[in-house]
Amino acid sequence: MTGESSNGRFAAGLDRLPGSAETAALRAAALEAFSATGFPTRRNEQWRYTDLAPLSSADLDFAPQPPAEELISRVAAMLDEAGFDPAAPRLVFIDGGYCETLSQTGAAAGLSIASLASCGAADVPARTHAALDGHPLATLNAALVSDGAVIAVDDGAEAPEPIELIFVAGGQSDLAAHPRIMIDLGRDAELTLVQHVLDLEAASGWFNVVTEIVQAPGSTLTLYRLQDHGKLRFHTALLRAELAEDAKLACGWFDLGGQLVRNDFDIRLEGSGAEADLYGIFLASSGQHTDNHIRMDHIAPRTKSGEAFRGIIGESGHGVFNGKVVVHRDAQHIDARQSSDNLLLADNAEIDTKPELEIYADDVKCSHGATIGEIDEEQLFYLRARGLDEDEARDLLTFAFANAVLERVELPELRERIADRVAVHLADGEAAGEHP
Amino acid sequence: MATQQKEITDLVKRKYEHGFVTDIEQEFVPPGLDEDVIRLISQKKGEPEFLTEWRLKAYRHWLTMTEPEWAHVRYEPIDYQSISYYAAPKSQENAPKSLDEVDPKLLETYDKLGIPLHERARLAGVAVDAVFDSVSVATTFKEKLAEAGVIFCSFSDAVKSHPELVRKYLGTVVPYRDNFFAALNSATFSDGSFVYVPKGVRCPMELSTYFRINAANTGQFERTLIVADEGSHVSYLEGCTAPMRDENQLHAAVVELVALEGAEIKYSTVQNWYPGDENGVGGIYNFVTKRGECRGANSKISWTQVETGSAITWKYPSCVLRGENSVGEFYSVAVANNYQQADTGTKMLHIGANTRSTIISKGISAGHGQNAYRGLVRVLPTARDARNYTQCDSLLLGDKCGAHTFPYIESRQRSARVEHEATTSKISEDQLFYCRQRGLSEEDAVNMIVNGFCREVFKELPMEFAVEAQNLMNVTLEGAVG
Repeated sequence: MTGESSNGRFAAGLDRLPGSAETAALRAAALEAFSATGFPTRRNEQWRYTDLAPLSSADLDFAPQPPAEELISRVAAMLDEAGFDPAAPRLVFIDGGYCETLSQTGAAAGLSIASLASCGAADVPARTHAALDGHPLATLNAALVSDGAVIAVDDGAEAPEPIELIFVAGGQSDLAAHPRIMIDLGRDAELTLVQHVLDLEAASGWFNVVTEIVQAPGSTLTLYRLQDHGKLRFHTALLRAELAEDAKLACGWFDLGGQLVRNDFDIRLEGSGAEADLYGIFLASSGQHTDNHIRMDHIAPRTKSGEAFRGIIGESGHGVFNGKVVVHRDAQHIDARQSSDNLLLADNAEIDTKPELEIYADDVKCSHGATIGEIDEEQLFYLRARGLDEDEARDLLTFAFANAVLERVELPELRERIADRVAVHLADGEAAGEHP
Repeated sequence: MATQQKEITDLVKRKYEHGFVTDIEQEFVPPGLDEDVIRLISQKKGEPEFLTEWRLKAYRHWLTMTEPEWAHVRYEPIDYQSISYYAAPKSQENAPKSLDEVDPKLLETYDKLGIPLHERARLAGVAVDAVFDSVSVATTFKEKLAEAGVIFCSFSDAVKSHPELVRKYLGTVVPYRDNFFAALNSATFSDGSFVYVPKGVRCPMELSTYFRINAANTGQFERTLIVADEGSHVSYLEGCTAPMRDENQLHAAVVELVALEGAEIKYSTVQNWYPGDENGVGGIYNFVTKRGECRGANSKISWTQVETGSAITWKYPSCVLRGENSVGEFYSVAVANNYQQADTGTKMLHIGANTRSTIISKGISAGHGQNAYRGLVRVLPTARDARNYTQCDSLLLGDKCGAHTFPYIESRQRSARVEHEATTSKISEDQLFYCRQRGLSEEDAVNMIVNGFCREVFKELPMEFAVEAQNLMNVTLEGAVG
């Protein structure tokens, strides 16, 4: 697609988005920056394995309307049924717009939770537009963002319980939502955040979220995300984090749904002693495509990072992992570990993995490992010998493969929820395909 | 620490031992490249029509291509019109029949390099097809090989004496369209080696070629083609040195290997071209395309390389595993010191069922050197039960160098098993302390540890090369402990 036609296509939505004249100018500038490159193609090394053609050619509405009462009550019913606690501190978004009725911002000392729109939309694209160079989809987010979440924890404060961010797609087809999440942690602050992404019913559309995290020295952030879209949706996400001295970030990422999913992580360990730990599971079957793309910059000495992703790829699924660790010059005493383990469950499944290291300092311990294979015949035999039938044995081994990552989720309820959903998706994938 | 610093300084100041230029008359084609130059090269070499046409097709395709930029290396743009694409020693006009007829200055060159051609050949039982610049000047042990039916000659000779074999296999593994440098080579290649091992023959000796770039401004564009017919076996050795020059010299070789059913080819390289001086001035640009195809079932191709030279190395010896049960191997040690840059690795393409590949890559970075491993393992849906094991380790000596790993792993066959592991570290204080405590000098300790680090690769080298490689490593990395 040429820049010109995409520009025209988005410009139509631009008029309907909120904000002052100043904001409108920022949006226009971001859109121009996006139009200069357009959607990245597979000729771009960063997009080698992920083809955005279905997304760039889709006819989408880029300025969703606020949800109607009827839709809100349906979403409320769905959340109740799915066992979400309405009393827990949470922000609920429908089609990218904040839904106050279903949200519970509460009030804890030193903690502020608000929707982006309520903070004044004028600030929205201005804040970090320039910092998102090299991420065309994030630039587009800067142009089209309408709402999102702003969460801040003051120095020394600790959020008493996990905060939930729930993004629901309302069932209307071909909507494109561009939410932005901003998280600021003060000195020694602590926060746990759980992000749920789900569809009210299977419908096509695009969810393009940008998360920006700034962590002051000594702060601790634990993030979980369960992406459980229907299998028609495009999901693209950029998470950018800057960590000061001794700040700690942990991300547990679980991608189960979506037609085309691309997660970009851009983590910058800027202060000595900072640590980032990324882990996750992704499932892809029935034509699903899931791509996890990580760039981990060790800028300061004595920083530490871990990346551990497991992919389970079924019938006509395509999984991608690209992890890149960059150790900058003079960033000594680095510890970086990367692993990408993948299970191929069907004949026409595909996995592409690219664990990269770029190292410019010498006192480092960096390692990566990657494995691709099917379920081990010996393990299967072991279980069969103990009386399990072939299907049971395969299911058990597949689940065990995922469970090694699941065990790292520290919230028992969430762990159980993810485990249940993983089991459901695996059964779905199996029903779609067949094994010998 | 002070002695360490001194050792590092000594190391940095170590001059390239093989840096000298032999002054003999050269016959040049004027710098520049167009269709006339290509016709002239082809005509000078008395090539048949098909080859001239092939060169021209390659040239026309090259014109449509752009120079690749994806490698993790930096260099000034190359002016392809300032290179002279053909240089032959004058004495070649009256081709020498034996070593006695060879220009004494040439032989002197080899002596300086420590390759007393005849003696070494006789002692080691190695046939040497020495390439001086672009034209073969001496070939030995022809008769013994002829007895076994093995054809081992310069590429130009092969074109004259076995045009049907050249025509059948040339460009079938690395087509002229393959990449920018392969296209350039296909258009302009001057000479190289040709090997054909007939059915069921085990080549009676290891075949060896010493390459050498001599005249300034003449990029060398060798073309090597090795065909191992059904059930045959051949081991080929390639070694390189180059004289000192301030201008960068381009070297864009192509090596093609074809292994038919049950055949085995072992290709070993020690590359020690001029890497430039301690400030990164000069040195060879080594942009090489090496690829082997296991065309038949149960065939095997094994690449072993020790890369210590060149300012820039851009080289990915690869295996196309087409035949069932075929095996590909890649063993590599790459060193980047001073301002050297190496972007090297391999591609393993699994097409046939039950194909297996092993990749062992050891990268050593020192000084301001940048060393990258770039590898591709691709398993196609047809490669049932394919197996790959990859290990790439990097050793960092000094805090100004870089070590990078760019592995691409793609699998579309569920019964395939692919494993990749990589580590990056420096020599630990503990290891050094342990050795020092047992009476080893720091230098010996480092040598021992580095050689241990490279052992898995060195043990794959033929004996003469293993010794040379180990000495090379010891000298190159003396005292470079961070």
